Amino acid sequence: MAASTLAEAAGAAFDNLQIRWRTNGMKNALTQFFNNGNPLFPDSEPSNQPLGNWFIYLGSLATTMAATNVPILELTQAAEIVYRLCWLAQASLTNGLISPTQATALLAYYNVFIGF
Amino acid sequence: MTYPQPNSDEYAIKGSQFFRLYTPLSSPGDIYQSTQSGHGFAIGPDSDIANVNIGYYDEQVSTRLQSTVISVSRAFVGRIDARLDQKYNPSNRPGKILFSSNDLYDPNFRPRSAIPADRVLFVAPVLDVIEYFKPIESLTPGRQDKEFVFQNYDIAAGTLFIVVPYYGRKYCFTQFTNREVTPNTFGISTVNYCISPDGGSNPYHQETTIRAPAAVAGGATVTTLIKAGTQGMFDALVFSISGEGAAPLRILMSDTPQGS
Repeated sequence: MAASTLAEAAGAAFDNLQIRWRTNGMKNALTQFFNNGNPLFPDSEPSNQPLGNWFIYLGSLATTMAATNVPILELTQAAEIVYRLCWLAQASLTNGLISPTQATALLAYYNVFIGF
Repeated sequence: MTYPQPNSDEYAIKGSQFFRLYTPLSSPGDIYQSTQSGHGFAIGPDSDIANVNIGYYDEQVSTRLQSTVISVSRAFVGRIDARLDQKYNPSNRPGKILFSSNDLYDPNFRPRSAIPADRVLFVAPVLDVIEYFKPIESLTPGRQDKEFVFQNYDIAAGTLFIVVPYYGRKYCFTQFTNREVTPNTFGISTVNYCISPDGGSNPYHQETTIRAPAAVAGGATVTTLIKAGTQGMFDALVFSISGEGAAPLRILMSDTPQGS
């Protein structure tokens, strides 16, 4: 079921990534989420930088991850990064650091590439 | 998160010997940055968070991102450079130093025993990290003992749960005294946070009962000790109270084990 809020997306991160991991789809899911989400928060806008910093971690993990037989520890690492990223996006939206347009787009990418 | 965050540049420009990042967390995803190189990194004395992840630029890593964790028992002594002239791969963002909690936190946590009428109040965990700008030979990390004091409560209906951070602590003394005439139902449990869908009937957080909720008679006192060696280590302590008070609750926690 698609997440209706970024906080909900955060809470479902581990469950959703487990499914991707078991079917050898986690690297692709994280890569697609990174490729689409990273440009939403350019560093040129200071209020975007906290979220952009999580994309540093996400991009690094997705790049170095194997396509198949991913170690279980990397499932935990991926889940924690996505969890924190989505929670910060929720808090940033609440506090006006990112726009509703940015948040909506990020949630949509989550639901397409990570969620179900 | 605190925004705008404290600016490490200002501390360096003004000749300070360190940059102290001291802030309550507003979300599990709070992440901070320093654009100044440092010679040592340590958990600050007032931190609730026990483990802090530090990300930094390393040109020998394919993605240029290297990370380490500092904790209440392990500081980092050595030079870490903020490389704003370089970019992390593939995010293409400047090589700043990044700080984030390595401990989990869920501000939507509700005890499994909670009913809709119950209320949950959080003491937001504090992140306290110090970056030293001058070379240092050694760093002895350590937090001070921390005390929380509560006395009067706002309880319109049901039970009030107070969630207090306890990351990495090894000992806790708690004392609850009911100064009302009528009994006050008081309980203590603990939680280790998980990445969990919130709400619903099956949240994943790990909860342990230390003292099952039970009536404390008017004028009576309950003293409870929590020791890492016997009960374990937890992300937070959860206190449940049914009466508005006066009912003093004193909580003293330490990183030092006290007996077995």
